[in-house]
Amino acid sequence: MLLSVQDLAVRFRTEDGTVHAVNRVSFDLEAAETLAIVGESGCGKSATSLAIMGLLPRSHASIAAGRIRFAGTELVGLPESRMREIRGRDISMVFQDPMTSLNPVLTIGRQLTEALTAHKRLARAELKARAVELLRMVGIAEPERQVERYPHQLSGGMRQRVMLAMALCLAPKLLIADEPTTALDVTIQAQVLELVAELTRRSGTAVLLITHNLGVVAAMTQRVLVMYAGYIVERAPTAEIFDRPLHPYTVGLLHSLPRFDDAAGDSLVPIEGAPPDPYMPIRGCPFAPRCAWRIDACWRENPVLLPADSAHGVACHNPVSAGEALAGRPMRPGFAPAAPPEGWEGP
Amino acid sequence: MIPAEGKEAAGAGPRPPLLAVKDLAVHFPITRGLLWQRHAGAVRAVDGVSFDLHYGQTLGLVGESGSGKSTTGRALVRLNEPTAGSIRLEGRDILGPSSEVGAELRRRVQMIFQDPYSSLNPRMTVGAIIGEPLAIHGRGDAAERRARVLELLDIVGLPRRSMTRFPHQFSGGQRQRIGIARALALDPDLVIADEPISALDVSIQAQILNLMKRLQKDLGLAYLFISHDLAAVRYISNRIMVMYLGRIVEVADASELYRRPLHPYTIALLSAAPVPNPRIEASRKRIILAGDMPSSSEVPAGCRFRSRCWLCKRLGDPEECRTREPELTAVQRGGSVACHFSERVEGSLEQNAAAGVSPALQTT
Repeated sequence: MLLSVQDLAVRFRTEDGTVHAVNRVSFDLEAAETLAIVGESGCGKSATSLAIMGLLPRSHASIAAGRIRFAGTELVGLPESRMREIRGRDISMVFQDPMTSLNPVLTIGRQLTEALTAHKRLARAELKARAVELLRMVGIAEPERQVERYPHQLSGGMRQRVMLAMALCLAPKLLIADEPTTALDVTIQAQVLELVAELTRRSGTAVLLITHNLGVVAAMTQRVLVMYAGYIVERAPTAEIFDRPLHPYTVGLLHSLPRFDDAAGDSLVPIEGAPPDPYMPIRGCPFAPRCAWRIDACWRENPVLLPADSAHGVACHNPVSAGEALAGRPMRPGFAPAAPPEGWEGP
Repeated sequence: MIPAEGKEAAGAGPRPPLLAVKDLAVHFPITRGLLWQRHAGAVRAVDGVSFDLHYGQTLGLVGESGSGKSTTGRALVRLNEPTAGSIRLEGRDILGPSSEVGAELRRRVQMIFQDPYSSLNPRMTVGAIIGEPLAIHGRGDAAERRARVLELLDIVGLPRRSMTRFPHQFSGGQRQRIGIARALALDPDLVIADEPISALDVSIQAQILNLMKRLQKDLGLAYLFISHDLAAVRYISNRIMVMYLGRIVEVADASELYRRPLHPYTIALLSAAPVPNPRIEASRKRIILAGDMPSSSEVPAGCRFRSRCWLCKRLGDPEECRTREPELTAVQRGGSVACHFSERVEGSLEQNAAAGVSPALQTT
């Protein structure tokens, strides 16, 4: 096991109260595996990845509970000096916006060599040669010229390639990619995704891919975790999530997506309402107010993630049947979503 | 000159199209020097675009950043002043000196924007935001305007108590509904929607798309739906234009475009977008375009797509692609394409594989 996250809880303290960003999140990641965390804004997917990297803002965020074991080392509570050794060398990260992760006043070459020298001692000429080689590896034309340039002189796609070159130059064991292609055009996204797949295949790097794009999930990953309101609500092999989703939220996401790969004219079945207010304490299932499958228990008790079979798990009192998953709505005679209990205050 | 796409010619039918755009160009000058600004070229954001927009229809406009799709949309409401070309609203030139046509344009053509966070005035109540166009155009008295605002809130599915609240009290999806209500206040015929869902979460995107579809049915609206999201555009559009570097490279009916794309760029665009189906993705071969789109201040000679075109490369960089800019030419099945070699695309493996549909499905 390369990475094992157990009962992780992350809290943010803000002026308006405490946000329970990540709650009882557990998952494993094997070497060379690609795992997706899917969810919408505020679902806790980025907070989970920041917790693994030890990059939660200290001033107002904390790991309230849980363990994160990486290659035999416990990361929770690890001194920053040790964490810094692991970051970059063993775990790398690429973010959505490469402009915010690159230093605007340093040349591309300087930043690449900085990543190298942080963990290895190399001669100056050798460094320059490595930087050029790295840029060539990520498919940047005229790398000798590009190492002299500054981030703002590159396009978004080129900047993201530079980030990938930096992230992968030390052949890390784990790459955490947080919406790596969200800011890019689709033809550039295709370039970057192909590059990630090729580079990680070559180095045996495992990938934790955080995204809201289910197409990217289908193309890149072997397993998926679906998060909602800080909880993992479903986990399954990638093919299963699309073929046989069990959680009403997963079903809702799939039916919210317009597509062009199958018959036209299919109408979308949106998920009504909006995600819960992160400042409100959650009672019952966090998805209940938007769920068409909810039963009385959903208002009272937050379901735990239980195995449906060996690889597939779901946190739901009333999972979706195969036929319903296709239709995108409940199809049981006489079924109506349970009304909220007396005195329940909705978002 | 590019023939106006679609109907034979403007004015030939009993009723001219709602909006007829001909040879539209929007160039932004590049100047050099601080005191004596010299003209040093131009960004040719939109560079000769013609199309018709019909009553009650949705015309999709897809392209990547820098393609000129947003500039085109903004030019139609004169947020960007056209450099050349004509825009006719029911046959009457809106770029001419007549202020009457201008006022009519501002009423009948409305716009909704991508970012529901920055396009609403944070200091105004939702009621004031939605009612502002009515006040500006001097519609009714205060009580009538208030009634209309309440009606608009109902139409877009917002609670009536929203009236007295401020934009920050709403989620992204709700703010987009506020933007739509405002756009509908003056009963427009055409709404230009510039990336209206791309800032929203997936589950909310579907709500807004369905709302726009319902409003179209109920109110007979026409849309120009501008987006980089190929799937969303297909869902809402009757007809779709694909733009690249300031020009339209392909136009077709929505289903045709995805089933039988004819321009090498359309094919690359479709093939690049991953589809939410792992089985298809496992066997799918993507066309990876090399490099970035050239800058619209340095438009290449010949075909604009040539530097990244997989077909041009395969054909050995033909003379024609290097020297002559292809015109948008009508093809069978009511579409148009701007490629010298589109007949080589027809029936090709790339065309078949583009949208990730199995061949068995395609024949149905």
